[in-house]
Amino acid sequence: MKLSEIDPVCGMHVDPKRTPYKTVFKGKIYYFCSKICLRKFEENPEYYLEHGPVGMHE
Amino acid sequence: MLVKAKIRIIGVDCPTCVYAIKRSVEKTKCASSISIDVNKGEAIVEYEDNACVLKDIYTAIIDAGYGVDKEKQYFDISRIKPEEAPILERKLLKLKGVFDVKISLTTNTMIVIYNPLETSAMYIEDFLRDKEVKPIAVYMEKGPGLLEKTVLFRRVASFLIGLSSVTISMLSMFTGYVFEHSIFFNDYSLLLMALTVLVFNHDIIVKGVKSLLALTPTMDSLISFSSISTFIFGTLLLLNVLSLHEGLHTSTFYEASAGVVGFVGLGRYLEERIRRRSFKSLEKTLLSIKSKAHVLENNVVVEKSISEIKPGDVLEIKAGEMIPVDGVIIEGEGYVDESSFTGEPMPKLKKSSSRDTVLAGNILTSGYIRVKATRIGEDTIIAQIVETVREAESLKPRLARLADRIVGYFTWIVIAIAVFTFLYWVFIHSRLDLGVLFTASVLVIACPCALGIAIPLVVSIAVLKLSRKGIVTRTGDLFERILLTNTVIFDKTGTLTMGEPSIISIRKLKQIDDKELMELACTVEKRSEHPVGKSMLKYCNSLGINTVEPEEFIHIPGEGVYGVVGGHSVGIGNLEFANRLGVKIDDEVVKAINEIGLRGNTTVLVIIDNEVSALLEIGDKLREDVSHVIKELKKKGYYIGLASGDSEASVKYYKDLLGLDFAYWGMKPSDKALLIKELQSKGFKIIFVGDGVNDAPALSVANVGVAMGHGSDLSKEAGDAILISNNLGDLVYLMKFSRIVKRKMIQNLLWAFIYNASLIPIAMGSLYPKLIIYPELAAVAMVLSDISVVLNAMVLMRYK
Repeated sequence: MKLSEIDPVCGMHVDPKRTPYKTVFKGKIYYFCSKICLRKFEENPEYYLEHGPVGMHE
Repeated sequence: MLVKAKIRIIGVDCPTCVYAIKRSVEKTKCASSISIDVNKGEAIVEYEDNACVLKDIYTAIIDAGYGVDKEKQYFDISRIKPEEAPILERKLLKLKGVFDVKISLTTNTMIVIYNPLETSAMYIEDFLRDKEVKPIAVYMEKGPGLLEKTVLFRRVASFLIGLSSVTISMLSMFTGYVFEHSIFFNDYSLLLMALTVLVFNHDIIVKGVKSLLALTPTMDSLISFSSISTFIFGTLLLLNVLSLHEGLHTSTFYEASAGVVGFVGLGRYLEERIRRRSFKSLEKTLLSIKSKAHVLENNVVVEKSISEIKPGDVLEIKAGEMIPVDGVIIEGEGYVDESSFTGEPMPKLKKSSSRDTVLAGNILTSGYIRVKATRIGEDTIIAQIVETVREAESLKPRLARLADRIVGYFTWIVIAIAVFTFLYWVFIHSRLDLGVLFTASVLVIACPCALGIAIPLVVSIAVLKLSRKGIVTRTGDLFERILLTNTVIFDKTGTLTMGEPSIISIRKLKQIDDKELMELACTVEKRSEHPVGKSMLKYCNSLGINTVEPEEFIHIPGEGVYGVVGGHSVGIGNLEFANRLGVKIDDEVVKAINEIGLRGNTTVLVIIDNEVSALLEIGDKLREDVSHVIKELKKKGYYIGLASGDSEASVKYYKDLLGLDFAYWGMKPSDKALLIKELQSKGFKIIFVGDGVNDAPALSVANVGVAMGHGSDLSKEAGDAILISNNLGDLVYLMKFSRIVKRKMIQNLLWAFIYNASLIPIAMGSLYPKLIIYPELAAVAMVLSDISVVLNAMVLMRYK
């Protein structure tokens, strides 16, 4: 586990040990800064994985 | 006179309820008006008090399916005579505010159920003050007090004196008055003996004469009448006012007087002791509950009296203590002795992790637990059992009602026969001595006592016996009703099955060691709160598989859990979850999942390193004894079915698996009740076996409702019987046992009746001079009949 992970939705650095917001997709674990980012990712994971983070919550 | 009564009805919340109640009350034909306030639940009923009593209205409301706000007061009626009880009952029912009166002669208790809006316990107690009826606390043990000890002494002494006077009299007859001139053994000593016996048993005599004068003759009246008349006749002989003819084995008649009271007194005392002893253990348990308990309050343990405990309180129980409430273990574990309910002598391990339940009266033999109270006081299962035993008599099975009627008339018939006997011998045969002798014999031999206890005693003992087996019966006529049934309908979940998910099969799709597979799966599931996860952990625990902490844990609601264990990625979940992980699903897996679905079970995929490694079939396991029970019921010719809220696939699967006759699926609790009603209208007599909480409506409409004892959350109204130990086999036992109970009732009734009917003519002197039943022999015969009825009922306790 890395010390810091990138939130695939907003692009923030997230401490994987501390954040409770995480999910698994296609065999990989993703960490999020907040519930909002997690929910957005769950709605359309392919989009964020293809386009990269879209910045803070619009 | 038109009377107005205000009653608070429980459960009225809609205009249709009001209509149902009104219709039911109107059916009584004596209520002129009823108005119900839906918001307050208060009803004002006007009824004609010479056409009916409040009980009729009360019963009508209960019959409509609603509860009534009521209170109870228990009374000790050991000082009144069985024959007086119905009179007292009638008087009480006419009293303002009295809903119902239940009298149990077996336990000598009377329960008065009253309307707290109209009367009070104090008022009723006041009304009963001069009737030798004392109020008792609900949990009162009737141990042998000082009074009882002197009673025992007096009865035993009377018996011995009676026996010796009879012996002396016999001896003097056969040996030709050898004792005539000795100081101790002459007619005067017999006079003294008879007098002593009468004085020792003055309580019986006084009561008997009193009730005879009140024109409500009881058994005591018959006995007093018998012994007094022989005593007087003996005195007349002694004073040489009268003389004896030849042919009688007696010289004084005193021995008859002493014998009758001496034998009957002790016999009845013994009979009561035998009866009472069997109920003692139960009452003792109940009594020992009535003490202090340790209650957790703001994390501090405080001592409180049981009466202060409320449902929801947390109690601390240490090893060796008796658990005073019904409840759930929320902390700790320990071995619990449940023998007072199940008869099972081995204590059972109960833990907070499985939220095990305990019942009041259980004993924690070792360990330490904290229990959250769910039922307290009168609502606990043990209190209910005691109440059922107490009420068993008042529930009056059909046969008992018959016996009741007979006893009522019997006393008068006996007196008529006695009078006839006397007149016949005195006026037709001019034999005053024989007239007195035979009248005394008839009075004693025809005591209706055995008739009175023949059936109620069987019911009470049956209820008690079943409670030791872990079967709680709530209605006394259950035994007769269950024998009339022809159909059994089972609920599925929790009744035929264990009611909780567990692993039924494991199908491996990859080469992997069983232990390794479950180790990985359980390690991830350890953090899950889902019931499926719990069932997996239970499985691992039972195999002794160790789990470690997962390196990563993710829970996706509705899909599954994912974790990393020792470098392996482990996912456990459904098909959707496999899709999320991007795992390839081949046709074999799809086919297997469909097959499992047909059984009504769920498939859980275990995905290790992105490959489906195993399929777990999760479902509700059948109880172990199900197929045996179904087989037994079929052998008895029962029509067996299933009514479940589950899916069609699952219900059909179980129907075929068990070879049942019919099955209904997708049923809500109320649907089950409707189904039962419909089948009943077609002539089916139904036993419904279900869960005590959700199936309450079905349990109450079925001819016999049997609830599985899931322990703590059982409702008080659920069914006629509860199988506390969750053992379906107990249903078959209950059926077999009911047959025996019915047989005992008939045996006892016939025995008591035939005994009386055949001996009365002989006692009247029909076989004179070949055969004479002397009063003292009549007393022995009567006591034997009594005791044989009691012993015959006691045999039930030994039924295996």
